[in-house]
Amino acid sequence: MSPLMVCLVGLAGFFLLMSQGMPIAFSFGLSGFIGIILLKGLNPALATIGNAPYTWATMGALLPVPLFMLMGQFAYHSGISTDLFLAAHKWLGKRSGGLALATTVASTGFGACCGVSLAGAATMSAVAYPEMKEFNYHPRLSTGCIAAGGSLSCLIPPSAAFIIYGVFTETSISKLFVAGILPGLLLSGLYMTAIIIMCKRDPSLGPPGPSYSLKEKLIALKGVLGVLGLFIFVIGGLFIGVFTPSEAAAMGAFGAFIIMVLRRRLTRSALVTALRDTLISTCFILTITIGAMIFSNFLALGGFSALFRDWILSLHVSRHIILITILLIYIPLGMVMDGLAMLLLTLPIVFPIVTQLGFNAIWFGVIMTLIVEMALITPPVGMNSYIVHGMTKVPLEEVFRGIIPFFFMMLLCLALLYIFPQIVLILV
Amino acid sequence: MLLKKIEKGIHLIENIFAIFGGILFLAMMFLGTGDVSGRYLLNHPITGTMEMSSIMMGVIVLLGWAYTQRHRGHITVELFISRYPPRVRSVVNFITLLLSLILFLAITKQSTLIALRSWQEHRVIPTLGIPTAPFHSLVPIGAILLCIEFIIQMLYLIPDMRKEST
Repeated sequence: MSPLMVCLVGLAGFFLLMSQGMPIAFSFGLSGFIGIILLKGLNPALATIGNAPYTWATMGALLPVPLFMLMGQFAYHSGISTDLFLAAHKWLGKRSGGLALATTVASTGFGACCGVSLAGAATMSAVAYPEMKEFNYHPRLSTGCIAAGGSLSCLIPPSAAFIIYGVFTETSISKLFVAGILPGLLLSGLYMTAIIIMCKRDPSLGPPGPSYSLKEKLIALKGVLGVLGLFIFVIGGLFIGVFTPSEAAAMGAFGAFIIMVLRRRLTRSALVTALRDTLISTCFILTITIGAMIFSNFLALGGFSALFRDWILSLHVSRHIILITILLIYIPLGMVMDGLAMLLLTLPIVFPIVTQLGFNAIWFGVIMTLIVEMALITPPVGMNSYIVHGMTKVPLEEVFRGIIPFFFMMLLCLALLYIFPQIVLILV
Repeated sequence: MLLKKIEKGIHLIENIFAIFGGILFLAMMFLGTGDVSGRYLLNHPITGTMEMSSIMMGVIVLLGWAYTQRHRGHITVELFISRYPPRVRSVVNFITLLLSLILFLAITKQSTLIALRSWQEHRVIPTLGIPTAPFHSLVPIGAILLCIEFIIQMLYLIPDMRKEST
């Protein structure tokens, strides 16, 4: 078998194992291991799988991942996301579709203290959904805006997707974080536009709620100050270069911990749950990284990445056509794969091509993160949609129908970022 | 009965490792904060913070493997498998567990060799001056625990695979 053939069989093997319910991390590891045996023999393969776990589990560059996750967990247990929603609710609730708008605003805010989106979607399902149900919101609108809103935390720093991208492409994580701010706000704005348009066309989707006095509105803002302070401290410190990403993450986790203490939310059970959930997420993300590194080692040994790159670069077509084609392939890939795993699998192949074509690495990082975000909500394997379905008991089909308008907003956002790269690069 | 006892023992070890991991998270957080505050407020950073934190992360991940597997924390794609009839699903689960077991047995074997070499060579982590061998040993420890967890889960599947065939 030629090396290229082995690579293709290895890829097919990986997808087969993954589709049969084997954890993605182990599917990567096993298909990579067998692939290297076929290419180079047993000993090099054993050497690879023997070294990879220690090397990648102790990789200092990945430290921000667990620490930002810890920050998100502490922020979540300190009740920040509930306060954000209640504040936004008081300001926006009386409009048609106002609670859905409030959910989007709260998700945007929560994204600023959380690196992965599942916690956001889970809280909003618990807090915002019952409220929307009470005011007779259509379940499609309420679950759609929760699932889509949760995914905002990918673009809005801190974000695990940016850290992984930064580490594996040697791009500055601080710059990626800063670059994500405007696109994140743009997408949040697009979501709100979609909600307003939908509710204008069919007011029964989101009937208006009660109105509040200015005093009540101002008091509600108090709960938001903590989040705002934490975000400005952490991202600001990164931006002006006072902290490295892992320092910012440690300080951010500490800050969120202090907020939890000040709000008297530091109970034993909250602390244990926060640490336990951080442990499991850290373990699965780093194990996927270990597996993906074994697998990409295999693809590199088989010369797959190089062959693919040379082939693409030899095509005499516009670089935009190449990139758009790559992005179009990502959308269905994201439908069947976990977003981060997809990033780890494809970056070693795609990133060299994209930079050789002359695209900006930071800009592409933001584009890729938006793609990861799409992968989080699209059927059949959209994690966020599953969480929302699991917690609200709204049928999965309804949730998936609900995300359609938001998915189109993501596509629109992608197009806008493509046409106006300044949105990404102006702050960097 | 013996199996139940073994399972209990293994889960106890996993839980102890998980608690230890949780404490290390807090340690990483305080260490990082102490380092930054020390640098800016007292002009005295904590040397080796990055290395220490990286090793703590390694301990958390490697010793957390089995715990995460037990709580189904390793992300899977359940799109197809959730539609299989129960018995087929058990068989497929059994096979993927077996394959995972083979992978991690290989990892256990190789990482044990690496750890043994590390004990013999007395290598140290440069900035910290502490030996690497104990940390290299975490890979086989975490891997063997994960292997046992795979076996426990496989044993639980056996009755499900038999049930509807009779």
